[in-house]
Amino acid sequence: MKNTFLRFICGNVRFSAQGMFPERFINLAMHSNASLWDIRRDNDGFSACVIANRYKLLRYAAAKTKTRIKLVSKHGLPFILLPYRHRAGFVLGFIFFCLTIWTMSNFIWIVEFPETDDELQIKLQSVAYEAGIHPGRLRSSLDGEALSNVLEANIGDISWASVNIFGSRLSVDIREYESFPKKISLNEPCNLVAAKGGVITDVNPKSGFVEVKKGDVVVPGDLLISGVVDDAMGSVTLVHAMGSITARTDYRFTETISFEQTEPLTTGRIIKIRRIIFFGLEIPLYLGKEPDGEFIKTRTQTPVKIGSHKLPVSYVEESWVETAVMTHIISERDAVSRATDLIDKRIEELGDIEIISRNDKINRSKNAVTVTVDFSVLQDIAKEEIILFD
Amino acid sequence: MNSIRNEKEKQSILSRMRLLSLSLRGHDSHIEINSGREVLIEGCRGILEYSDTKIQVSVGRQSVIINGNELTVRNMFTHMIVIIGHISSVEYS
Repeated sequence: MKNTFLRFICGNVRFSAQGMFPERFINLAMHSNASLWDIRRDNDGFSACVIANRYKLLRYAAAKTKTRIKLVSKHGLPFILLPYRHRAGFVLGFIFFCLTIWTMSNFIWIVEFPETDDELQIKLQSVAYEAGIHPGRLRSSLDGEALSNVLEANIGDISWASVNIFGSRLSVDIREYESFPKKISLNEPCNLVAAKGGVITDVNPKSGFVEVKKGDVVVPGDLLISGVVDDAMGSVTLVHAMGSITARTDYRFTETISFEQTEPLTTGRIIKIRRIIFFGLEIPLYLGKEPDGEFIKTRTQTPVKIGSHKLPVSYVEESWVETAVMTHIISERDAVSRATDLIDKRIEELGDIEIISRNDKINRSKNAVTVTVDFSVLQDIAKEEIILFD
Repeated sequence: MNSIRNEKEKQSILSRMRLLSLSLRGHDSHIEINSGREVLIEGCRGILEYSDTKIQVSVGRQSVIINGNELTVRNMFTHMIVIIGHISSVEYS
């Protein structure tokens, strides 16, 4: 297969030879390094194949053995391209094509960013652009390690960044900080104290000395389970106190909503703006200036692809929805509903609780409505606290 | 008894090594036959006779005769030749 391909690239010819001493001709050809193949015996001679530029090596053998050699056929790439040798346009086009491919391969075509939340994505793309990471940059002018350092230094929410260049594709990878709640190690002694005041309804200790009982009233900071345990022999052991203390706690949330609401509303006017991005250069497909006013913009970018490979050309369609700040009056019912929704959202943020009673109060005034919600919940109020030794 | 057998084995190994060494240095010929359809001869010095039914190749002091039908030289390089066809016999002369 490899030989066949090389013979095609170099070009090969089949020749016929007629003479008195074919064996001697073959031997002389072999010794002059004109490697022959597919040697077929004919009635009064033979035919064989040879690499095109070695055909002239056969002249010596032919003269020496008085053999007549004649070209029969030509095969391979040089003979395919031969008719085009006087076509300057074809040659120039081919050279231009090769140069274009070579030149284009020296530039960054595509920049790939990792999937992150919207806020970090905007920050990442902005910092990357300022650092010079965008399509159209010369590949040799980019230093992946230096760019990684720039990203790490300028984006606060990441622990690690990497910039890798694969051919004409630049890939940015980052690792975000993972925030873990600060927990005390199980090997470290600690107490459990009340995070919120309330009436104890259930005590479920796992380790440590229980300081409270069902029905006790506690305030924030009171000791619930102690990590200092006295045994029967009078010695003191320090342990990591564990367990859950459920208490009934009371909350009051208040929200006031004004009847007069000012918010941006759409006017119904939508403007579509189309662009083409070529190597990072935005080419507008519209005439005139961008419209003035307040708009909510929605941008859709569709890269041009060949199979699964993206090209450095994208089609961008922006949808500009005109908005205007308007003041409108909402009904009391709507105001109460908005206030209740806000309070419900705050209750959800409390986490794992069980609501045992709830009382909603609505106070109406001339301009606004105030909703007050008093509610009692059952929740685990224990929190770990390190034992400090003076 | 054992010592005689060991001596014979030693001589046999040395003899094979000498042949291999000669073959590797190109002083001797090396022939491979594949399924009676292809013969590869290393150490070939030239073709002495070439026809559809018989090809005689010089391998130094001796010559190798390949008999068969539709014999063709598929490849020929310096010191190596590959012959294909329906091979009926390979003999030294």
